[in-house]
Amino acid sequence: MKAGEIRGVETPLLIRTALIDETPGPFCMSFGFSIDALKDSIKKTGLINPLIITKNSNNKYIIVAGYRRLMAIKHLRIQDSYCIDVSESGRSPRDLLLLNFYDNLSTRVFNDVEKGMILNRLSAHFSQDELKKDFMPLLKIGNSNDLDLFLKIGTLDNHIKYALTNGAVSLKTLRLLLTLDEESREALCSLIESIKINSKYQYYLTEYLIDISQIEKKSIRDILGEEQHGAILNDKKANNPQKSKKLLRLIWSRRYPNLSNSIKQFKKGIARLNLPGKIKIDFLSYFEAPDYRLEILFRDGEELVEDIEFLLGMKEKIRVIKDPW
Amino acid sequence: MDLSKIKRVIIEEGADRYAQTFNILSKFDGQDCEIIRHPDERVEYPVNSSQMDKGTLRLIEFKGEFLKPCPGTKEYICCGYQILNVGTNCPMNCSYCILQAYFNKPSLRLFINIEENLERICEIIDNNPEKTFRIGTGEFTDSLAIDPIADWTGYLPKYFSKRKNAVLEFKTKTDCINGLLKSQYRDRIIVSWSLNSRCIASKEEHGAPSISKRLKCARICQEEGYVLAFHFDPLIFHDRWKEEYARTLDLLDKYIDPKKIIWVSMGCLRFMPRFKDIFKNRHPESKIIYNEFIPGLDGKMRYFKPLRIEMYSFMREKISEFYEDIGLYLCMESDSIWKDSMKWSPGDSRGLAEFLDKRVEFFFN
Repeated sequence: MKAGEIRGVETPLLIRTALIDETPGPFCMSFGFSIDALKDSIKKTGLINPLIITKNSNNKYIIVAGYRRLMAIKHLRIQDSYCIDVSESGRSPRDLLLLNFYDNLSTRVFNDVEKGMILNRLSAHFSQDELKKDFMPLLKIGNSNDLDLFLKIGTLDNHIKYALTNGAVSLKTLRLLLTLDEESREALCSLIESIKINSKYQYYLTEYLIDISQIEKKSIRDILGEEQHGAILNDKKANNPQKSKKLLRLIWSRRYPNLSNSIKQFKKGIARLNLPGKIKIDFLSYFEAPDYRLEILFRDGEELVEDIEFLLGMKEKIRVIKDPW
Repeated sequence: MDLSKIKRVIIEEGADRYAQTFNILSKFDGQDCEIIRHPDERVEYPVNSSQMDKGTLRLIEFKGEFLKPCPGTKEYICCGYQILNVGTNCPMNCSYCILQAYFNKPSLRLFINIEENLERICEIIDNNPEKTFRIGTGEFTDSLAIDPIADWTGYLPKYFSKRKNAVLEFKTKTDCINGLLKSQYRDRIIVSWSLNSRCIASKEEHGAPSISKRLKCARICQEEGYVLAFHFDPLIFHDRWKEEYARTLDLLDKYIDPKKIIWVSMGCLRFMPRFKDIFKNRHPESKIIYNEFIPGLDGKMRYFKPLRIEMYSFMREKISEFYEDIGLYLCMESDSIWKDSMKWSPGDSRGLAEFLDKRVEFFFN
């Protein structure tokens, strides 16, 4: 077919909606969508663009392009819809997949699960190099090394796909989750969703749990099932941000026991000095920097002198500040 | 090195102008090895290729600087080593090797135009008589692993052996010492081995000879008149690490005369953050990255400070039982770690360089 040529002028026909299979089918690239706006539009103006359908090997109509429209029509119980039947057009499954792809590409933005679905479907017809070169840029996936990630997304359980689509789990976290066994992935994903851990915390939490699981040779599911974690998650007095912060802190201490203990010891030592709130002593860069930091807030020189004199007055106590190990 | 492991030799553009290329190719006569001459036939590999393609040898006309200072950072004390860049990557497959993250180009890569550049390098050395050039080839590759093909021990020593302000260190984990044994040069040539606990050597240093084998080779070289050095880098926490490292030190004591060791370095495992993913992909069976690593001041992940101090202190005490004056130093550590673990500090990079330069002077002048 030459560029600019209109392939087979197929006239839209009125077809019984019930005759069209409502399962997504081999060309579908829609996931996690709402049909409310479409329903509203169809109610007010009718179907603007006809559905594109074809017949499968069982001679049953399946959708090629317009899956969301079909869902809206079925919800609205519209008995007949205008469709273009391309069964006799000579188009191959590859052509039909591309037809739906470009139809969608020109009208909307794909979510990450849909990108995974698309790449999975295209992978049956195109090489990995072609996917990377020709399709990933169109899908706005900047890093071609992410092909494997998106191909895996296409094969995930619907629960995780929904979590990704609705933003409960970030793509960065999913990358880590994909390294886990199904059971651990499911357990962690459910936890992230249940207390709505923000994307930064969920990434760290996942990373620490993976490490702990390796160190302690224990499954993530078992770690999360421990009593102390249950106590945090079931605490009725705490809200979700408080729970996630507490959980992350606990998991972090377990991942970094020596560092965590050193921080505790150091802070305990500083607390013993009973410094006023405007004077702070802190460690730097996980104690990696050679120095500690003294911070004084003051209004004027007079107040600074007073603060310095105050510190000089407790020289002996200050002298004992040292590395906490 | 077993030549049969090389399945393909790629001669990159410009490389066939050098005699070294033909010397190397002649070693593959009769071998089941594909030779690709045309540069257009070069195979492009994706960045972070997980296989590293170690069965391919690339002969390359290197256009960059052959002699470069070790890329130390100001936050930690660096010894001021100079790297003679003879090639990159090596046939072994150590799980912890930072080259996996450092270079994004796979294959064994030999720079075949070194000899043509050695006069220029020597000019730099000769033009700085006040400076001691401690030079090594073992930073971006193993100094001896590919020597049976590259013949570095055949042509490099003569350029350094006669210079009064330079030493050349061949740093290796291998038993490829035939080239060294054939060489007539001993003066200002150092042969060093990377050592570890036997447990780490067997689990993490894939394709490298055992610690005993390395030390037996070291003894042969020592008996043949070479000055030796050893590098405990990376030191790695693992089950019964104290016992395991003590065993290696016992073996060192058994095989080597400590009076002829110019220096022993120590450095704990450290890596760039992005290395963790590469490591997990390439070595899923290894657990060594699951320890308490924190971001160091140079951005590399390091064991939390007291853990490093504990490890260095233990090693220092054990090594000092073996011999006091052994040129023990830390690679890329801070002044405070030096003081806490070594009980002294060179203060800064210049101080450490002076310490090691004096060792050179003592051994070779």
